[in-house]
Amino acid sequence: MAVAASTPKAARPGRELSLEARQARLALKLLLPTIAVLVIVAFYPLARTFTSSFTDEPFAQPDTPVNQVGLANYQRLLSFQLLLFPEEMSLRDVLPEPVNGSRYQRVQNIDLFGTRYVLVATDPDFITSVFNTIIFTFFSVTLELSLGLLVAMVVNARFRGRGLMRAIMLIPWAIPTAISTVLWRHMLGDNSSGALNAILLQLGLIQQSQAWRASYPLFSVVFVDVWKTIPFMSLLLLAGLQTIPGDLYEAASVDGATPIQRFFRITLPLLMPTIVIALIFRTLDALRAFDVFQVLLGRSTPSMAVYNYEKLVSSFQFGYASAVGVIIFILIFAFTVLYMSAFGVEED
Amino acid sequence: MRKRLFRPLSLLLVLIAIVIASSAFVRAQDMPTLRVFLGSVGDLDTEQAILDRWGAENNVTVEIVRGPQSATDYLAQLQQIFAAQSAEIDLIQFDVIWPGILAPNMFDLAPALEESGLADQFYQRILANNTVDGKVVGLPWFTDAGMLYYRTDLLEKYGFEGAPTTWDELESMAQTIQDGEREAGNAEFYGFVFQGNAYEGLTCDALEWQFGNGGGSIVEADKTISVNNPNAIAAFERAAGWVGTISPEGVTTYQEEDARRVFQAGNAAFMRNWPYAYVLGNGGADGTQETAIKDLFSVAALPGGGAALGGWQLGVSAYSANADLASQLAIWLVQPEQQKERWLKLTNLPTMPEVYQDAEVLEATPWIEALIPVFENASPRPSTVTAEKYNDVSTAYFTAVHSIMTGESDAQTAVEDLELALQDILGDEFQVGPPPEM
Repeated sequence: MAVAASTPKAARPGRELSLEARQARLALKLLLPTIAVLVIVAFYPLARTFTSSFTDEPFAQPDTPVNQVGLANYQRLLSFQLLLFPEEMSLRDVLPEPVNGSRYQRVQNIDLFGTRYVLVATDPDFITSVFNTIIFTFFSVTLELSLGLLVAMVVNARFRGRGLMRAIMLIPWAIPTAISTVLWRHMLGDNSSGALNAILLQLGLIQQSQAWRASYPLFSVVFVDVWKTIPFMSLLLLAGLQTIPGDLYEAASVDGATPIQRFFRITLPLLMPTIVIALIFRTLDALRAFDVFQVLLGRSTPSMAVYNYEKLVSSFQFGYASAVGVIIFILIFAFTVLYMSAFGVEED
Repeated sequence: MRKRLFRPLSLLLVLIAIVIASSAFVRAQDMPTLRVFLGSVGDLDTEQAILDRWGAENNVTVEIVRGPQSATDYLAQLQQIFAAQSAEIDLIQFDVIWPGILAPNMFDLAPALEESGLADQFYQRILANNTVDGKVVGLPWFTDAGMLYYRTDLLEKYGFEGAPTTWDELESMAQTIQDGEREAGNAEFYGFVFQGNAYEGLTCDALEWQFGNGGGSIVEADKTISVNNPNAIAAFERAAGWVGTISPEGVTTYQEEDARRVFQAGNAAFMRNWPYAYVLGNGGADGTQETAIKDLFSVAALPGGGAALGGWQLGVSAYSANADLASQLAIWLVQPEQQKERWLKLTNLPTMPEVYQDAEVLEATPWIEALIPVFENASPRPSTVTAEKYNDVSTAYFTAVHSIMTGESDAQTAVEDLELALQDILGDEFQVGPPPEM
């Protein structure tokens, strides 16, 4: 009935718009709410972050005046130098002049071929958090990809209870990260009340309880993140595996290819587009990792996002924290472009 | 057919909505709700029971909103609530070091305090700490000082006379007891547990080590950055030596509650903690706490005599819709009777000298008398001189000490870097110099 009623209206004479133009107009109307929501929840905060990154705006101090500081926040975050640091000199002798009133401080001493160097920065904690994040990203993404591929191939094989297996596999991914990380914090406990220690002690693999979070901080976040993300990885890869036609494998085995040859000659090349997508997803996620770091390690080993949060809520520097946010944004953007051009992913 | 069903259904829905809305309105009318923001440390059930008593007398619903355990995270969350100017919380528990940071977002309690006539009964230095430019930001709820908990049964078993008075003594006693208990079959027994995580708690612990060793208090009241001195460095080196020997390797991830769990399970000879752990170790206010050490431990001053001054205040959010009601609750909570109750049920130290002289208090915890001078002379963290920069100063400090404790950096290097960082945070008004002579 509804369709019949509107048809004469649309065919009313005097309207010059073509069908296409009318459809375009309708599409625009239908999209408006979405665009409005996007502007409010995505564009506005992003723009606000950009603009406040050029100020010294404080956090939760309603009566403090805000000043424009230009690029000072970025200068402080990104100024670092590698200096020769001879044994007989003290740190203060080699430190460069302050930038905009920010002193250079040591990130780390570095020994290269018997000569001592020192890496200095005006914000050493930020530089450290960048290193932490990059190390974390490299190991977690590598492990997630290889183990995820393994799991995907297992659940791609035909066996009894495969549907159930696929459902169970998703559980770690379904638990909110903050909650599962709190659970892991207990399981990684430093005495035998921690599950990991209890199991390893039972199996005789370690002689004494290990303080996982204290002794191997980055290892423990990688471990928890890998546990959490394998399901996501294998689900993505499973979808890719299922698009590979089975007759390719048949033909290969008729020709006498070994399973290993089949993997490297058929599975891997045909899976490559999916792998690239999965890599992009995971790398970007890992670069902005927050919850797993914050809950497991707190301030002792911050990631970039944790550092960002710290500067906002513990140091009360809204402007400076915004600059950190913008740098993370640019870094992630750069990685995306890099991946896309390196693997030739088409834009659609 | 469909229409006929739709109309009564929608009428019914509207009716239900009206009933719900009006009942909520009625409830809100005669029962206002106050939300109290508390850290999730200690015995919150007893806390709720105390609040409910006032609530019942005054016809108010009082809810606890649980904040994070770590003081550092707690402040972070509080600042987020303030940034949103949220009316979500009314009454706020806050740390002795925060009045300067929180002042712009707090309701002035001066009139309520004046009316109550309580002002003269408080320790004046705690009340002064809560007054920012004439505005009373909070009322002293309970005070805190770092203390040494020790197992009386184990000290006796291994032939020690009493609590250690120097760190050397503590180290050798801890080692002896740890070796003995492990020999006896408890492979996870440790000599000494404390707060070694990278957070505000480590600032307190480390300040005690360095202050007790003549190493000053990080930044002195005369704006001297004094932390880079041999006594402080020696104190940090000593503490770093505990990790993995008399203290667990994982102590660098411990906060108050982690240390308490180990000690309360009977797996440590000594513990540094705040007074609240005492009553919990003895089974809690109602005897329901699980504990392996009931009546088997006591409390003494920390070796070296350093004791960080802690303590919690009650303030009212400037964004509260019920600020006056919340002020009344705050005034009630800090009255001597409630302070006494807090000591007996929660071992929270009173903020009024008269409560310490109460016969019931002295009978329940006879050891408190000897510790009164320790509480009264506890060393404050440098929050007054560094004002709104305090949080940055503390973060730089506990990060540096944490890197020494984990062995990531040697004490000399870390302290040298810390000095530079503090200079950068505090600016040219502050000068580097030695700590005052003891």
